[in-house]
Amino acid sequence: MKIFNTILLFCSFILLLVQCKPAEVTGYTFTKENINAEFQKALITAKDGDTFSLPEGTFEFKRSISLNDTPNISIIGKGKGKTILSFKNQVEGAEGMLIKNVQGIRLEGFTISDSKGDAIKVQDCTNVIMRDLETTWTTGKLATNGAYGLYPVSSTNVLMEDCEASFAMDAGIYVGQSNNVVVRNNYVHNNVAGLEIENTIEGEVYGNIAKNNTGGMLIFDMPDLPQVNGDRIKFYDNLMENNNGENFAPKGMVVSTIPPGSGMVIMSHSNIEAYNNTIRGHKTLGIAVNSWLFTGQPYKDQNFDPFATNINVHDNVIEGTSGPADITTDYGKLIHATLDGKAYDFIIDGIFKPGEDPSYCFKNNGEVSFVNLNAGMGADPESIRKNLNHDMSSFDCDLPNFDTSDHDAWLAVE
Amino acid sequence: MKKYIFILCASVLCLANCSKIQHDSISIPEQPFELLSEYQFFTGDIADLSPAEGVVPYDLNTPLFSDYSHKKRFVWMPEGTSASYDTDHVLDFPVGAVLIKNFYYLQDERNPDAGKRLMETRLLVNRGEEWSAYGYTWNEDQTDATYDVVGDIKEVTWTNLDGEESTVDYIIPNKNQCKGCHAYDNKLLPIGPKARNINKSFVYADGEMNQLEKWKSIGYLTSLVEKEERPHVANWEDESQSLHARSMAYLDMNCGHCHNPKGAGQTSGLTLMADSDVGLKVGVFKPTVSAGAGTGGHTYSIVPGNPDESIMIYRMKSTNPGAMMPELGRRSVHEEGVDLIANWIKEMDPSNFDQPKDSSLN
Repeated sequence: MKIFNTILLFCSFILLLVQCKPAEVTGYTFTKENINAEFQKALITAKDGDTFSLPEGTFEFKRSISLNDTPNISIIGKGKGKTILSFKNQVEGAEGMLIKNVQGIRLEGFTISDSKGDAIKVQDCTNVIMRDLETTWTTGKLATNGAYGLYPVSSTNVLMEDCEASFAMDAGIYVGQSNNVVVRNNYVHNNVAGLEIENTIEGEVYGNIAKNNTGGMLIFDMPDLPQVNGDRIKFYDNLMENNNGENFAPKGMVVSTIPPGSGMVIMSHSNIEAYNNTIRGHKTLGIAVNSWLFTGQPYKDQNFDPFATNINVHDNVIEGTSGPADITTDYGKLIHATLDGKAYDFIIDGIFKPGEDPSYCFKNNGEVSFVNLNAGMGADPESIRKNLNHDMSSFDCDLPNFDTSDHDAWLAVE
Repeated sequence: MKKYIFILCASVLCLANCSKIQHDSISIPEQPFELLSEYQFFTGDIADLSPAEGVVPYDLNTPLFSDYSHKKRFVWMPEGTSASYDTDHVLDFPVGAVLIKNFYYLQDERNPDAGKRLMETRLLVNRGEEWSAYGYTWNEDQTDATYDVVGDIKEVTWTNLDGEESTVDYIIPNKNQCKGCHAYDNKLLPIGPKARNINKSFVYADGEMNQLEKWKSIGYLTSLVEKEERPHVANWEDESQSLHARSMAYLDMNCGHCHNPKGAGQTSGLTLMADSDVGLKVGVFKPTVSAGAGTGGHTYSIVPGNPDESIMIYRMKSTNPGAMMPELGRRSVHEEGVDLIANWIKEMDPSNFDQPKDSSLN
């Protein structure tokens, strides 16, 4: 018996030796020479907790770079504009970098340029940090550029900060169907939409700058998607300036309807508070609030709420909305047909939830021009001309505050 | 005494580290073999793909298009195990089951005996919780294939049925990309062997037989339901079948692996499965969400009666990685597939569907 115990002990010891190797150095630092050959391979064989460091320089990739499933991964470059992953000659993959189903992902300090599709897509992830990243297309404003620059979708706990996104033919920064997001101190320029929050629940967007896009910042809720009814987003301390760029999105995309010269557009989303923002120098509109119904697009989803509700826009500076309004888009044409091409600080479609009072409050935004298209009584130009009004008095109100603090807990850990 | 301790320890170690699935000469290790030949799935010249005992060939009613490559599929299960029949989903395979898919090009489509070039062999191994995917790239001499996680791009040239030379940059996917198609609820799963897709006859070495019945007869399938209760998708090329049935089969196999409620394409809200109702969910008058360059300037996924205005056709015809569908495994346009779906859309009557209302924005 005793000998058996000894054997067992000895075996256990050997098992320990085999199974409990000392903690390995986790991750890998790539060199200029091996990054092309080794980066993708390393991400495929990554282990929980690995950090991958990218060298300074420009590196060309022909295929998408992807990471799946392995948790707690960091990919760190030498800084945006210094570590550049170029996809100019990409032959395969619908994005430059695809991160999927990763719990804990930190992307920091690199540029993705000229990807054939979206630049960086992060799907089905939690605890996502995107910091000091750049996405761009170097050939200028082309309809063949990728749609999204920084693109977290269906993810929970997302922090995007100090990033720069330009020349996307849809949105430079696009947050879709996500929960608990913080988007701060980013710079978006020369995109169709600078920054877009879509079908997203709970978040804060602050300290961002949007310049020279077609539309500065958009908050949309779209039907017939797995997560609908975007809710509880705060927008504050942002600058939207001179977003008068041409709309180079291909027809058929929702953003192709955005008229050049749009500061901020809110559609269908609920519980938006926008305050302390500066919205300056737009030729068509400062802030527009629309219902999904105004698009005339059908939807099947019974759970989808097509109306914008509880829209609280207060204490913003809206200036230099100067006209003449855009005439290249259908929306612009409508403004010309109904408002003689005059630009407005506030344009609302006036389509409200039947049987309920409009839940929009616009207060302390200075001397602003305002038009309610009253399109609920008919969306054709003739009806709108007849029914529109400039009466803002019923929107001089306050809305209760709502809570967006769910991100505090995980941000404190990060 | 020392010797016994060693043996005892070795067996304890083995319990911990070396559990293998055995079936005659075939065994599946925990970690993939370096060479395909090590599995001993094939006998004789490995390039002939002559299956060893227990390795059973199968075929699908409608396959996924992969740049005009041909595929030879086999299934192997550990001794004494069997798959359980499932009406809707992939058959419930036993732990240890392996699906073996070989991709190759014929030198000359008009003469299959003129030789072929094997590109890659993909193994899907059922590990229980989920499946593992292992890709093997064939060497130029066609004497073996080597395990490869990063994949490759290889130019292939062949003579097509019209006697013309065709060329494609064939892409061997990397390991992450397997999941681009094979993810269901973020778990890796096979796509092809659903009852509806293997419910067809096959010419075996010992005669022709329905595949489901063959699997049952050799002990590879249990709980098979009566013949008339088994679902069946059309062979997309079988012109005796209805255009609708062939089109839904094609979409099911070429799109449904992502465009299902638990697939990677679910964020788009598009569901392209064999039993999908033809309406908004398959794209009829459905505006895009994030199609990007994929719209081609069009507004809806499908405009009934008008394939040229339908995003679906545009994306099937595109080879731009940022616009094309499917996103992976295709460098060339599947002309015959495009024709099928275009005809299907053309035959749709717009008056059968909810049409977009007149709008100031349209």
